[in-house]
Amino acid sequence: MQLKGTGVSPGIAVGQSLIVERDEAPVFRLLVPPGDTEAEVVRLTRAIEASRQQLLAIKDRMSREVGGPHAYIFDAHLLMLDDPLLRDRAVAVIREEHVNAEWAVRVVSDQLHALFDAFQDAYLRERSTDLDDVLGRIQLNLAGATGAPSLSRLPGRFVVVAAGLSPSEAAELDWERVVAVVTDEGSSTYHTAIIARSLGIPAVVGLEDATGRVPPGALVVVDGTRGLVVVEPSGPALADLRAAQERERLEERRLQGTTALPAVTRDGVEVALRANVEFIDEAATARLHGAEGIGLFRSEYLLGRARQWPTEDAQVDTYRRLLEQMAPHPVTVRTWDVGLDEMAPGGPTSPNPALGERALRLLRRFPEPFRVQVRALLRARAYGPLRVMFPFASGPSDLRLALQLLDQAKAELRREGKTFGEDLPAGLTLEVPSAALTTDLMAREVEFVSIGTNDLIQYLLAVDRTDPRVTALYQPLHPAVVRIIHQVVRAAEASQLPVSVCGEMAANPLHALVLVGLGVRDLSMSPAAIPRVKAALRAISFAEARAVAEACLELDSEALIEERVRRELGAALAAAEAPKD
Amino acid sequence: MDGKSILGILLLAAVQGAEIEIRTEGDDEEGALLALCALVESGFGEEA
Repeated sequence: MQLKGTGVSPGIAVGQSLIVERDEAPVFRLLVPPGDTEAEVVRLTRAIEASRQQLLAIKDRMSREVGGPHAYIFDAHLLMLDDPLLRDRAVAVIREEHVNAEWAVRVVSDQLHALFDAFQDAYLRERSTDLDDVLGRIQLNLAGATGAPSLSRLPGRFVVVAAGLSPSEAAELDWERVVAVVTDEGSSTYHTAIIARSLGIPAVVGLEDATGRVPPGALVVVDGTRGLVVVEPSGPALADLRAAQERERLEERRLQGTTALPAVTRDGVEVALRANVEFIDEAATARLHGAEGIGLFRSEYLLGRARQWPTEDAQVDTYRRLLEQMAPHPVTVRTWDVGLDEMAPGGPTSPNPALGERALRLLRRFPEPFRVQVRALLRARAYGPLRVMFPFASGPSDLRLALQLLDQAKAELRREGKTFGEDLPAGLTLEVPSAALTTDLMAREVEFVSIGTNDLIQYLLAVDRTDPRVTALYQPLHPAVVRIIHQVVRAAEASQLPVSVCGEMAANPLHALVLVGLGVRDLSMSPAAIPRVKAALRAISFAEARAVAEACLELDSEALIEERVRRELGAALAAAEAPKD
Repeated sequence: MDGKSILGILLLAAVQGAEIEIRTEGDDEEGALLALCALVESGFGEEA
C-alpha cells in the first residue's frame, strides 16, 4: 500500500509504525458550591504551574537539541500561561460563575478564539494554534495527565504515525527514537516540519487518514523527498529504497549549503528558480529549498479526493495563503487542467483523453468552474503578486476565449463593487506545439508564457511516455525539442515577453543548463530539485552555456546533444550530479 | 492594552506598518519607553 502526502522534510527512512491517536477529552461543566470555588482556583494554579515546569523542560531540551531559534516559541507559550487575559479571566470565571476550572479554561478559550478568528492577517490568525497548545496542556494537567508521556519516552525506534502534532507535542517527542514522522493533518504541522528538517528526519504530512490505514507495527518506508509512505514494501523494493536512502542522505548533506545562495552563473546571469506545487503545505518546503516563488500551482489538486469544485471564497483564501507564505515572491496559478470526467462525471469520455476535450477546451461547454476560478484569482490578486496561467491552448483563438472570460469576470466584480486586482498578469502554458509555433502571434495579448515541457515533448514527438514500448522515444533533448524551445525564446525576446519553463526538464541539471543556454531565465521545478539545479548553474558561465546550446541546434540526435553538453559542461554537472535516477 | 500581556499585544492585530501608541508608567517609565521605541525602530530584531 502506498499513500501520497506532502513531503515537508526530505530523506528516506524505514521503520516500524507507531500509531499515535489523540483523543480530545470532553470538558464537563460543573456547578461548584460557593465555598469550593477557591479550591478550583488552586487546581487551576497548580495546573498552570505544572504546565510551566513541562514547558521549561521542553524549551531546555529544544535549545540543546535543535538550537536557540526554535526554542523561542516556548517563551511565547510561557508568557501566555501567565497572561492576565488567560489566567485572571479564568479565575474570574470560576469565582463569578461558580464553575470548575476545566470549564473556566474552556470559556476563556472560546472568548479568545472569537477574537483571533476575526483577524484579517493569516499569520496572526495562525497564532491561535499556539494558544490551543497552551490551553490543551492546562486541560491535560487539570485532568491529572502529565501531557503526553508516551511521546517523550517511546518504547523503541519508530515511524511515528499521528493525527497531528502540536508544537509542544513535537518538541516533547523523543526524537532520538523517531525514524520518521507522518501525519494526517497538513497545515497545522508547520513547526513539526521545521523541527524534523533541522534534525534531518523525513516527514510527510497531509495524508488525511494514515492513522486509520497504517496498521500498528507495520514496516513503513517514508520518503520525505517525494511525499510518499509505503506500507509493507516487497523485499526487492525495500532493498532499492534502502540504497536510495543512503544516496539521499549524502546528497542532502552536500546540497544543504546551497539553499541560501543566489542562483547566478559565474558571469553574473541570474536565473529565477521557482517551485511547482500541488498542495498549499508545500509552500513551506519550497521556501526551505530556496524557491523564489511558485512558478506552477496545479490548482486541480484543490478538487481533492471528493472531486468537488471549491467555492470562490475558499479559493480566494487558498491563493491568498499561498501569496502570504511565499511573500514577496510571485505565485503563478494554472487554471483547472482537468479532463471531461471532472466536468461531467459519469458521462461520455474522450476516446483519447490526451487529445480530447480537456483543460481550456472545456471552457466552451462548461464555463462555470473557470468563471469562479478566475473571479477568485482576480480577488486574490489584491493580496500580492499573483499570476494566472491558462493551460492547453492550441493557439490564438483558444487564448482569446480565456482572455474574454477574464474581462467578463472583471466587469462582474466591478459591478458588484468587490475589491480585486485589475492588473492580474495573464499567461499561457505552451504545451501544444501549435501554440509554441504561434508565440509571436499571442505575444501582444499575454504578459508571459511558460513552456510545459512534459506535454510539449509528448505532443511534439507523438510519444506517450507512459507506454513502456515507446518511452525510449520520449527525448527531452531531441533536436526538435531544442529547436522549438529556441524558437519560442526568440519569439518571446522579440516581443519582450517573459518566458519560463515549468516541467521536468527544468529539474534535470543537464537539461536545465541547455534551457539556460537557450535563453530561459526562469525555471520552475519540484522543490527538492532546486538545490541541485542551483549548484549546476553556479558552476557554469552563461557564455559557455549559450555556446553549447547554439552548437546543439545543429546536432542531429539526442545522444549527440547529450554527449556534447556533458563534454563541455561536465564540471558543472559534476557539481550537481544527482544519484542515478 | 497591558503591555505585559502577550495575548493582548497579539489581539492589537498590529501588523507591519501599523501605527501604535506606547505609554509607560512607573519607576522607570522613561527608560522603558526609550527601550520600547528602540525595539520598534530596530524592526524587532528582524532583518529586512
